[in-house]
Amino acid sequence: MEEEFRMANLKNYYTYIVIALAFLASLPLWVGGFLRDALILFFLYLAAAEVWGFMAKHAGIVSLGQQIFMGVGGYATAVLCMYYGFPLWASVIIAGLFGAGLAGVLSFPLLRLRGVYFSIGTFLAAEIIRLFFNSWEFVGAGKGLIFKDAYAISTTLIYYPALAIGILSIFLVYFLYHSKLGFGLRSIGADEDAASGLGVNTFRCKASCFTLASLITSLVGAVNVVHHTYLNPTSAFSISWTVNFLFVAVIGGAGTIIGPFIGSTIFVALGYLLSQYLGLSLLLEGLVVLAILIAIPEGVWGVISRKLKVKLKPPF
Amino acid sequence: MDILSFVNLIFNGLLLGGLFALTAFGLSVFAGIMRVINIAHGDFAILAAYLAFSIIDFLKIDPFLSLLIVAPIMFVIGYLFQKFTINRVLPMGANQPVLVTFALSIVIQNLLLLLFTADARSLITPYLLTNIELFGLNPSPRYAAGFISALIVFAAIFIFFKKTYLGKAMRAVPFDSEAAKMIGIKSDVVYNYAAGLAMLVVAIAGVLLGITFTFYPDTGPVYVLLSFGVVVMGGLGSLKGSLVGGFIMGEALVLGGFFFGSRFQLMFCYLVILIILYIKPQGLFGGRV
Repeated sequence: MEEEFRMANLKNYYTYIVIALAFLASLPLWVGGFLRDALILFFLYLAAAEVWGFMAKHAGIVSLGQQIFMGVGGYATAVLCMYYGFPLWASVIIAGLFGAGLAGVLSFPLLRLRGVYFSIGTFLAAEIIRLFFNSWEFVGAGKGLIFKDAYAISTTLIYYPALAIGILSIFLVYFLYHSKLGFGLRSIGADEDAASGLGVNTFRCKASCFTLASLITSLVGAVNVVHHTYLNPTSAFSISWTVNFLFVAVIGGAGTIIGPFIGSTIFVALGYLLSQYLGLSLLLEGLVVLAILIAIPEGVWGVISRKLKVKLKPPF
Repeated sequence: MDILSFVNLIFNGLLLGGLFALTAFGLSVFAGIMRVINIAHGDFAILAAYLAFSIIDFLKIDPFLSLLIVAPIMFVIGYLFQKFTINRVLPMGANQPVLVTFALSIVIQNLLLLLFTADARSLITPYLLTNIELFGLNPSPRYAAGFISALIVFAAIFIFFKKTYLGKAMRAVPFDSEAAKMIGIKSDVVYNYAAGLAMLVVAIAGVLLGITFTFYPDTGPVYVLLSFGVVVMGGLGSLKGSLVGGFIMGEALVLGGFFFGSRFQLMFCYLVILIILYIKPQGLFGGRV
C-alpha cells in the first residue's frame, strides 16, 4: 500500500525531475567560468552535507572525522592516476570505493563507541591518519602532491561528476530513509538500546550507513582534488572539512534533503565574499552554527516549511 | 642510553603526567556533572594561555601571578558559556551539546588566530629553564611545576566537593537530579557554577601548558584529545581516575618519543587512546566523582 502510494507520488513528479535534470545538465554550456566553479563547489558540499546530516539527525551518528574520507579519497585518486597510470575518472571511482572500504574497516573499532565517544573517536582517527600522511614519503609527506594529470581537465568536465554525486547523495538519503535499513537507523537514532532489544542489528545498520555516507564523502574528496590539483596532509585532513559540512547541513536543517540546498548556497556565496580572509570565514561559520543550534535547531528550511505550512514527504 | 637516563625519562614522564592530569580535570568535572564532553575544552585552555600571555605582556608580571587575573575571567566565561549555550541545548538530546561545543571550539580557534596571528607563543620564564638535580635525576622544572599544581588542584577540588554545600550540590545533581530538585537544588544554577569551576581549573591548566609547551591558536584539539584519553582511562567523571590516567598518558608520551621519535610521539599517544577506547569503552577504572 505504502509502496504503491510512493510510486504514484513519484510518477507525478517525473516530468519535473526530467526538466530539472536537463536544466542542470545544460548549465555549464551557458554559464561563465566563475559560476561553473561555484556550481561544482555547491554540488560537492551539498553531497557531503546531505549524508552527514542524515547520519547525524536520523541515525544519531555524529562524525567529526569526515575529513578522513576527503583526504583519503583525494590521495587515492592522485596516487592511482599518477603512480599506477589508471585513467583519471576510473581513479575517482576506485578512490570512492576505497574510502568506503576504509569506512567499513574503521566501523569495527569506532562504531563500538556510542554518542560523543564515537564523535571523538572519529576525530582521533582523523588526526592519526593526518599525522601518518604527514610523514609518509610515498605520498610526499608534509609537502604533499601536485596532481599534474588533472591540469588539463576543464571545469565543464568536472561539473558533471560533481552534479552526479550531488544527485546520487539525494537518492541515497531518500532511499536510506525509506528502506528497511533506514527504519533500523531511525529506531537507533531514537533509542539505541530499545532498537537493539527489538531485534535491530545495530552494528550492521550503523556500519552500512557510515560506509555509504563515506562512499559519498570519498567521491567528493576525489572530485575535489581533480578540481584543485593539489594535496597536502594539513589541508586534505583538515577538520575544517567537517566544519563546512556541519555548517551546510545545520543551517538549512540537518536530516532534510532541501535544507543543505539552502546551506550550500549560503556557504558558497560566503566563501566567495570572504575568500580574502580565511580565518574570518571559519569564525563566521562557527558563530552561525552556534546561533542556529541554540536558536533554531530545526534549521532555516524547518522554520520556512513550518511557517508556510508546506507538507512534503519526509525526508524532504 | 644507560639505565639512569632511562629512569630519568620515566621520572619526567610521571611529572608530565601530572600536567596532563591537571589538563584533564576540567574535562572530567564537566563530564561528571553536566554529562557533557566539552569538545572546546582544549581551546578554552589555549584561550587561557593567550589571556595570560597578554596580561604578562601588558603588566610584565610572573606567569603564575597572571593566574590571579586569568582564573576569575575564565570562571566568568565558563559560567556564561554554560548559562547561554549548554543549558539551552541540554534538553534537545545528547548530540546537540557535542555540536555546540564543537562549533565553539572552531570559534575560539579562529578568534585567537585573528587576534594573535599564527605565530608560536610561550609563557616560559628564565627561572624555569634552570637545571635541577635530585638524587642523580634531572627533573624538568616546568614538568615539576605542572605536577605540583596538579596535586594542589586535585586536593582543592576534592575538599571542595566533600566539604562545601555547593560542592555537595554539584555531586548530587548528576547522581539524582529529581531528588536534588526536591530538596531545593536548582540544577541549572548548579551547572553554571560547575562550568565556572571547570573553566577555573582549565585556566590553571592552560597557564601551565603555556609555560611547558609553545602554543598556537589551533593547538586546542591536541589537548582535548589527550585529556579525553586521560578521562576515558580513568573513568568518566572520576578525578582520582584522571590522576592515574594522566600519569599513564605522560609515560605514553615520553616512551612514544623514546621508541618512535618525536615525529610519531603524538600519533602513538592517540593510538593508545583509540586502543583503550576499543577494548574498554567505559574506561579502565570506572567510577564516579
